[in-house]
Amino acid sequence: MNVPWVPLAWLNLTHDRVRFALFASGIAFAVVLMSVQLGIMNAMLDSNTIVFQKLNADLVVVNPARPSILFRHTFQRSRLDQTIGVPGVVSAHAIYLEHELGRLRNTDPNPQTRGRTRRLRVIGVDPAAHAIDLPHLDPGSWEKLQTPNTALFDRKARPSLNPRSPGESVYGKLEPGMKTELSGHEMTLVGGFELGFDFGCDGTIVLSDRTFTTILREPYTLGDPMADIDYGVLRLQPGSDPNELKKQVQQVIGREGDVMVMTKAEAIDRERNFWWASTPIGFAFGAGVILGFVVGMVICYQILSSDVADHFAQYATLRAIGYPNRYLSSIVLQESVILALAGYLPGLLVAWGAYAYLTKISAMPLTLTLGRAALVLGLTLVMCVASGFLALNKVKKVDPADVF
Amino acid sequence: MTPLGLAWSNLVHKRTRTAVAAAGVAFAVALIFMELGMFGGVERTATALFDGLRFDLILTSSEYGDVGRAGDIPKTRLAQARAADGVADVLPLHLGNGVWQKPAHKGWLGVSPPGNVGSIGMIGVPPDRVADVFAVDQGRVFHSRAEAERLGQALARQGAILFDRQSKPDFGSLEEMMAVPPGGEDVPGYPGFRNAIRLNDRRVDLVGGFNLGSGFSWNGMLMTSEETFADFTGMPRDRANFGLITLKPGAKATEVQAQLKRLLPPDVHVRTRQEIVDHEERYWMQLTSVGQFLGVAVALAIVVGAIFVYQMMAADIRGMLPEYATVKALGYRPLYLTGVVLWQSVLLAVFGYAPGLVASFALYYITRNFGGIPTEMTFERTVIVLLMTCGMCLASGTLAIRKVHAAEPADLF
Repeated sequence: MNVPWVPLAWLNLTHDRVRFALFASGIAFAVVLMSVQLGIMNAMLDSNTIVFQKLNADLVVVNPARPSILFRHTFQRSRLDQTIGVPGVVSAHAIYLEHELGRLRNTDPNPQTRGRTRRLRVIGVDPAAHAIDLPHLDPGSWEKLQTPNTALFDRKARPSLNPRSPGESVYGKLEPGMKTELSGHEMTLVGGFELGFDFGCDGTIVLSDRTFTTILREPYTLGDPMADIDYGVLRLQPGSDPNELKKQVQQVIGREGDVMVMTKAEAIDRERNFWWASTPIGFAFGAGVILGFVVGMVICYQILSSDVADHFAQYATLRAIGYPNRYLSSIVLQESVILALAGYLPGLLVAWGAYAYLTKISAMPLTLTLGRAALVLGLTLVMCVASGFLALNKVKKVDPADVF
Repeated sequence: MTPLGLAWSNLVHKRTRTAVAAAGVAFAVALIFMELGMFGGVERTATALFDGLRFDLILTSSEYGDVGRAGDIPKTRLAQARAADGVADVLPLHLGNGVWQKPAHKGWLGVSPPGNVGSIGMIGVPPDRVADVFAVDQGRVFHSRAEAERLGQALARQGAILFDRQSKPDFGSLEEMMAVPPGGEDVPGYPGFRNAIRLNDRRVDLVGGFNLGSGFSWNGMLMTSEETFADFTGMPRDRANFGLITLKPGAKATEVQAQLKRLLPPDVHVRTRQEIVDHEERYWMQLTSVGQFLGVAVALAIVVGAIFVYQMMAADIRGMLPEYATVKALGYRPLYLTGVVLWQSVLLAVFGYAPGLVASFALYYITRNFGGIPTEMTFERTVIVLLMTCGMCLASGTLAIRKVHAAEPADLF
């Protein structure tokens, strides 16, 4: 049949504006529910991968037995030195880490009012290597770190709950020039950065590799205190393919099975997966996403099936005119896509506001990346179109005879 | 006919429509129950360990944050506390974690290979005092004193461990793991894999089980002797994380607490059971992101649930407009119609609530056994959600009544 194309799905839905707004808001709430739950889940998992995210690396070398950053499996520095020979590898630097032995004395100079000495994450790197990009680092800090027994501190360490010291971290006031002790050794704070706390630790300080190994390795290890490293950070020639070079580096140093080479993205994923599997965070908030999906699907089904019911006579007329069932089906499916988009846009906007609010109250960053926004869009479309298919059953019952 | 009678007949007559609306309400109810359950799981996480321990007062480090960050104290503090009046005994407890090699698992989909690792919690106790450290009774950590003593003896051997039966299933099932021979075994279908019980990459000897339950702090738990604990975690042997104080009969907890506070240096805190449980709950509910975020999730579930119920009710009532118009045309007063709609709301609330509650029991079971979150249905929660459902339905019914009053008898034709 040759008739001008009419955007029937659109007209059907928007004919009653108030109702359309109500429909869209129903879908929008499902979108908000899914995005917020997804955002929380990602924030909690992301916070545990922050060190990896900030590594200035193309490839990361690690002991394959080390399941997560919190464990202590190291590997030999000589393995890292071997990688320099691989064409395409520009630099290789060592990262030293300690979660157990590093204890920072509270910075309060008065022993009477001073809080307790507490554990924290200690990172040791060569200050000249820029192996890690510390966010919002005070300028000139890396140069100052060359002096022995100096440290960079985390301005976003866990905030203290003590009402007498508002705005301070659990380690006391942290400012450049303050003197304190790390595991019994005097230490001067020379610069600040912003990293944040996570499941495993309340804060981080960064030392030069020399200072680190003198304080935290020498007393506990025989032989060269710098020999065993926690992570290796490789930078590649610009334009080279990290996946290809990963294989080559793995071939050169990985034959003994004592080291594993990963791209930076793989290292982040591995850490995320460990926390996903070891805590119920993934389940708790993943369940929220699924519930949001199901609720949205039922809402959408309800809208579409009542739309078919309301326009039964009109649909019957179309059938009587000679439009095939396929045409009616396509209208319902178009409606489901329109509903998905009409709910998605305001829903995402609200979710974006909710992310900003939650980031403010929880000090844990909820970020809406393009990929995550796209994931929610995908979920919304699947949710609406699936319920559209369910509603098709109703359309099939439309009988041309119903006109009369 | 009374308004209730008509409401009932309305719902019974249009069975499919009623079923859809009730299913909608049920979904909202399940959503709210689920989020409340997980929020409650945070609270249970906070108290699960302390509920399983026997103590009147507890010594912790002054650094104590929560059970996951307990801080440690010198064991000499325990000895000092033992000297105080009214104290019957003080027992050390160690808490830490290790890397657990998840064993091969025989599931619905065949055998899954071993090899994945997870972080597992570890409790270290004096093996000869296991029966005094933990609650022993039916349904508690150990079923009986005799069982606790027998397993304690087995724990005394270096490298022996007990496994929490309520650990998340992918950490392994006790029965399957007990059947693994000490030297390990091959896994059918996965050549090159060796199934063995490993902690921190070392063989351990699994000698039995206990019941504690997992939570947000840990997904699985092991029990060892103090010696094995020190060996695997590197904790110095002269330190402990907790001192469990039991009092002599007749001694008053608060008096002994005051005395201990005077006696002991400020590196330890003395808390009553109630104080530590309150501290732990406050910490988890208000200070950890898990508690805060699940609180947000509960609020969100309620809002979405309410909107959802409104959509269902509005659609249901819209569908019945011709019937209402007829009733009006027959001469019934608006008040009568209001009664009908409100009764209908309450009936739908109940019809939706019942399957929603049943579904929630299933969801809780899954969450508990597969998600590792200790969810439990409480009577208060069932009542609160029932009232909330009725409230949501009545509110949306009230909103929808306007449409009914706008129904013109003439619309019939």
